[in-house]
Amino acid sequence: MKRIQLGEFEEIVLLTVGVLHGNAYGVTIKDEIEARLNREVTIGALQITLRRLEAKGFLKSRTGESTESRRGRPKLFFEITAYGKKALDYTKESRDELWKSLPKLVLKLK
Amino acid sequence: MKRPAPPKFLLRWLKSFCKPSYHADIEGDLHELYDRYVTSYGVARANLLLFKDVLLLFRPGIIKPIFQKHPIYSNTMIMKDVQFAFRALLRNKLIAGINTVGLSIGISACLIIFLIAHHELTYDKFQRDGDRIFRVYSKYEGPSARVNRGVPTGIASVLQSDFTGIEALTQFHVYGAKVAVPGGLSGLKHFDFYHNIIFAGPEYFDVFNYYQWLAGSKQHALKSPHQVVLTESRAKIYFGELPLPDYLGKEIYYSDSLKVVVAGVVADIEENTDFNFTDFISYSTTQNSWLKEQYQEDVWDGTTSATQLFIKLNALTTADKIMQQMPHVASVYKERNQNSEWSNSPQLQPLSDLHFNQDLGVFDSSRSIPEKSTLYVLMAIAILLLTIAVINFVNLETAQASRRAKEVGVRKVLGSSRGKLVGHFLIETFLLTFFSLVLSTLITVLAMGMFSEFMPPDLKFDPTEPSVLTFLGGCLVVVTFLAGLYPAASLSAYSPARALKNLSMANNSGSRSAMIRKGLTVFQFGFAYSLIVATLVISQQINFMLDKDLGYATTGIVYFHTPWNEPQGKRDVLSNKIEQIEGIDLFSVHQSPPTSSSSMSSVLEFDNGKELLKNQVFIKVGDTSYLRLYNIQLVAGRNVQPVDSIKEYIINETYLKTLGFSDPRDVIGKAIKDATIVGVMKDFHSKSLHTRIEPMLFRFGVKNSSCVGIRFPMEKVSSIAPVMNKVEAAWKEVYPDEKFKYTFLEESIQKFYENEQRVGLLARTATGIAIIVSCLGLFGLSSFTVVQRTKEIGIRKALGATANNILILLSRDFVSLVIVAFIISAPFAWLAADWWLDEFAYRIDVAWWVYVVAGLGSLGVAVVAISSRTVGAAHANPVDSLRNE
Repeated sequence: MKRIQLGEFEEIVLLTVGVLHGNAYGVTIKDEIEARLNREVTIGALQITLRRLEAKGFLKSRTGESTESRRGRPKLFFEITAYGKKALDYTKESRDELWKSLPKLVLKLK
Repeated sequence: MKRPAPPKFLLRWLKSFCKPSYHADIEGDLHELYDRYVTSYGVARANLLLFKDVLLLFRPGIIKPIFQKHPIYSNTMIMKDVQFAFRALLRNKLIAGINTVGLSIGISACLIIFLIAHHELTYDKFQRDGDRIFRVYSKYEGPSARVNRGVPTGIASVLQSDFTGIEALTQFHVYGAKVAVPGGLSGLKHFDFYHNIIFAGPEYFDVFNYYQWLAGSKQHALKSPHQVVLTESRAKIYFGELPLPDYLGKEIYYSDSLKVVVAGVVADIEENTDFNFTDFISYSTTQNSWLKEQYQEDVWDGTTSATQLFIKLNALTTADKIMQQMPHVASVYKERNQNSEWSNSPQLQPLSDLHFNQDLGVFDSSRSIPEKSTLYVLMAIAILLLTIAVINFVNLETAQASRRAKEVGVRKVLGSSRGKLVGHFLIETFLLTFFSLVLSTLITVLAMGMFSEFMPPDLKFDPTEPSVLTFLGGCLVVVTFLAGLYPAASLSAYSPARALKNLSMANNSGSRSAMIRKGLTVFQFGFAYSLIVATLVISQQINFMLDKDLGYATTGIVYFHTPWNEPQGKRDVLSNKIEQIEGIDLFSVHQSPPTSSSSMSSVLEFDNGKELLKNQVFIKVGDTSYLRLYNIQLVAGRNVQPVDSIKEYIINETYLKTLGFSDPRDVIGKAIKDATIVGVMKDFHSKSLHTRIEPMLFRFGVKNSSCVGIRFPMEKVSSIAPVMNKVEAAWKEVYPDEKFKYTFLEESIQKFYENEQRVGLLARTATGIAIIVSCLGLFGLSSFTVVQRTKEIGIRKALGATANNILILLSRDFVSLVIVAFIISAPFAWLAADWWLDEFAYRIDVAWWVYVVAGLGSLGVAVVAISSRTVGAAHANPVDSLRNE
């Protein structure tokens, strides 16, 4: 299998898309991250990350309906693909692996 | 309430850079956010936040690529593009040919002018710290104001001791001499008379420190008298090929008796320079030899233009600071100069001005000074010539639009983007321009041979030189875009549906591209017309100047100068010998012929009883036959007596009027200082017709007169050669070492107008090129129209139109364009002609018919260019054109 690599922000975006489940498009993703993680997200950074994830095959998108406040511009909804899920799993596992092998001593020292 | 909308420009900006496939939903997100910003922060803050968002979207990943790859039209097809371009050019050989010829002529003109301008403008640009080097020259105020490139020798020491801010200073004398070196059969090997010799001190090499020393050194050479530094090439001429150190210690004789020893050899200067001196004799030599009389130190009364003073300023000093100190020199001059009427306030001339200053000249008067304004006019003409060639291209390409429309349609249907199409057309233009460029380098080589008299003598054309390559490269890019961009943009703009249905509007006479085409044609012919007017005006003025009665006889007269440095007695011997030669009508010894480039003048005072009149008066000096030889008429009084002791003047009519007399008889016997006016002569032109006739007098004097004029009897003018051979034989007896060179007076008068003759030739050439290129364009346009309207012509003829009707129908449009061009440009031509003629004190008035003749001329040429195609079309059998479908 190709090595899966997720950046920190990529991982957050991917997880958030999952959290929003079916209602994930630009503005909602931005709001969700800002609310949960208390950090500012610019549209620019978010958009490239979404596109990059899509290009890597972790996300898929479909054009959705519009609202009055969007003045007719469609929403682009994102969804995690199976491959994306695998990537999240892999990332989590590898982190857990690392956590487990961390000597207890080190943590206590903190 | 209506919701505030986000600022349009932000959204437009986003659209301009965002990848199209991302654009819609990103814009939606922005709208949604904007609404939220407005509710929480208000419109102003919302706009700012939105701006920040868009700005942060401007990043790689979202910005669309500049060259969009198209799935079926990728960059791998670039070779195909070139191939298609070739095919398109070959498909229309006539038009491609016209374009190539026109462009290559235009580019050649530009290239040649570029070479000339580059050559002239790079003179002495290589000098180190050239912007700190200045020449000090004299500016005189007094009875008349004038400048002299030289300075009195006293000034140098004042500058040296009293001025601050001068890093180095050098004074040198420009000299010319016959050169000899020991050797040969007679003990001395003689060389020609060489100019470019200077007397200079070691400081010369401090001011101009780019010289490379091949033998000897700056520190030791030129320190003591009787030393000389040579350039390498000159050393080789004198002594042949030797190892460099061996040149040192060799002896050279200048002017037969000035013996000097070689103390150094410097490398020749390869770059363009006015400082093309080859022999540097140590400055102190002048004070330690017989030259001492000629070159006196610390002189304030006299100025010779051969004495040059150059200074190099400190890095921190400006020319202004030096000029502030100059009044000190002027006051010393006032003090030391005997003649209280004159004052001299020296000026600084930057090194960059040296090559172009008409008033000062470079170092000796033999070099012709290029005029910067002439260079700029040349550049303008070259650019205009290239422009009309470019116009041809634009016109012919857009005229073909309907042919190319189908191609554009098909390409667009197959998915070609507009940018790609523009690129496609530009490649075509690029190829054509490239061919023209290659052709133009060939034309340039030929043309430079044909017009060698225009060219600076040491100008070379080397296409591999970086400056030339840069120019050619720039030319290629600029011409490609100028010529190609408009046609490419207009052709690629067709919508595929219209183009394929052949609804192309390119050839309706009212369409925009047709209007532009007409405008450009008018411009072309307006330019060609103005040039025709210029040619006519210039040649008329030249003829006028050459034919104008100068006030004295010029035919059948030759003159020559006897060597000024030979004793007076020898000239008398020669005069006696000439007197005995048969076939000579009359001869006269004088200082200069009536019209000559060198003149002598003096400020004279005349007391007319009421006031003292001071005038600058030009003086001619000669023997008693002078007036008769040149057939200068006396209005009153008598000729001068051949005696030196009695001062007698013959004044001209202009001086007579300046003195306030109307009747010439009244002035006879009046005194000017210690001289008496004994006669009044008719006015004659003593200078070129650029200047008015000025007050002048003639007096007797043969002492310093080196010019001998000979008049031949009228009937023998055609066979003067045998007589001149006898004169030469007599000359050889008297001056065995000197060359005999004589000049026809008429020739020397023509030389005054060499500049105008050259301008005339230039105007004729430019006119020829402009007409040829414009007519090529017109020919292309008309032949295209004829092809387009073949069917129409056939139907018209079938319905009973005569060949003449057809001819008029086809020519009407073009002829009216030429007439419009004529009407528009006539006033400009008139203004330009008037401006040029204003330089002459005696000028023609341009007759109205010149403009009409020029107009008819350009019209005639245009009609010929058109009719070469239209006549054939008008006489064609309609059956042939209508039968095939």
